[in-house]
Amino acid sequence: MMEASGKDFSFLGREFLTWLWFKSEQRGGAIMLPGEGDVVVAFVRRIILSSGEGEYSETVSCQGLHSDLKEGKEALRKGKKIKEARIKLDINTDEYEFTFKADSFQFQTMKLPTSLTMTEEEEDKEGRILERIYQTEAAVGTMETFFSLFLEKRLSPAWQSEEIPLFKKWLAE
Amino acid sequence: MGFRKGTLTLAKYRVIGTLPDNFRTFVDERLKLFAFRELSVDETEKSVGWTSFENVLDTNFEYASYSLADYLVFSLRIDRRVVSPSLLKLKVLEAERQTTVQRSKGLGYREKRSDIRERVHLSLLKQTPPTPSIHEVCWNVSAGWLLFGSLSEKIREDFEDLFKRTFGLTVHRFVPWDANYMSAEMAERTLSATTATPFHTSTERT
Repeated sequence: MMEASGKDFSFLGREFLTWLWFKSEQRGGAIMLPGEGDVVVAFVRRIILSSGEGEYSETVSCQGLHSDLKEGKEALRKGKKIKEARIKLDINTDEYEFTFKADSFQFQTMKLPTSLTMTEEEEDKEGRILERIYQTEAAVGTMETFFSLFLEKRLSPAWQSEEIPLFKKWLAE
Repeated sequence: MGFRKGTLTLAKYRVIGTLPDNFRTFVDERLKLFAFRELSVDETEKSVGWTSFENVLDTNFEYASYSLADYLVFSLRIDRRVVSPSLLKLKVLEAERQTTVQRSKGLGYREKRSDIRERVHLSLLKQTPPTPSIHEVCWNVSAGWLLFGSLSEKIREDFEDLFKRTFGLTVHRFVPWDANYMSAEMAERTLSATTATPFHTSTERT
């Protein structure tokens, strides 16, 4: 038996984000969350791919609506994984957008859904702030659930027999 | 920017430790004790403390303004004096020239270069107004986690340190793959599966 306590699994962050890009290209980006239904994921505008660590790391940044796919996939084929990406989530028709940092599971410049029922005057009210806290929780929680789905798959025999062949096929497209 | 309006930048933490039974009173007392205080003229570096989320100038937390449903929401304010490097360079040059002139006239003593730099830096620091920065904290007490509104390493260290001193609780940076929070069985599974089947994206290594 291997000694797993205290083991650094931080490489899973980039594996997860790389897998999530692949999933966002399947079924129109819809990922089924148990008990909650489909959440639609899209990678938008910007992805950063990297290989290696510290002074040996090589990074590629892809920007633009369509060019990113081609160049990003090319970087994947060369062994890089996604370190950072701008992601759009559609949860029950509510749209969220944020930059996600894979190594530290952090969120940057997150846009929350706009509430049509609130007026400018009501923006400062407690209810509005609470709503925005719930929305933030929903976005962060969804990414955590995605990670759980990824890990479940990653640790199962289906990773090698089903997921990797599909991933390779997508990569070759 | 933040929970009130605009975009959000956030890092999640696990809150480790137990709050006392009368935790509402405890939180109120501790927030006030470690509330932000302005830097005095003699203080050279920085001041770090809590302020109200509603009103950044409120450090009395009137009517428990930090309490919002299940959450405690407040802000961290850091005022830091920073001397412009180009100004420091110029002033050090000036001071060095002055000491050289004084010495040539037989006045003064030979002050070391590092001492001159230190003296000038200190003097400039006292004349520089502090730059404030505000970062929101949203703490879900019953769930044992919080969201903090900055990803800057320096600011996060200040936050982690002040949180510990204020509440006697430790905050751990959240990542879902943290082996310390997995069951032993899960950690073993993760280690053996990821070792046995590395995720190579390179097409040359299939």
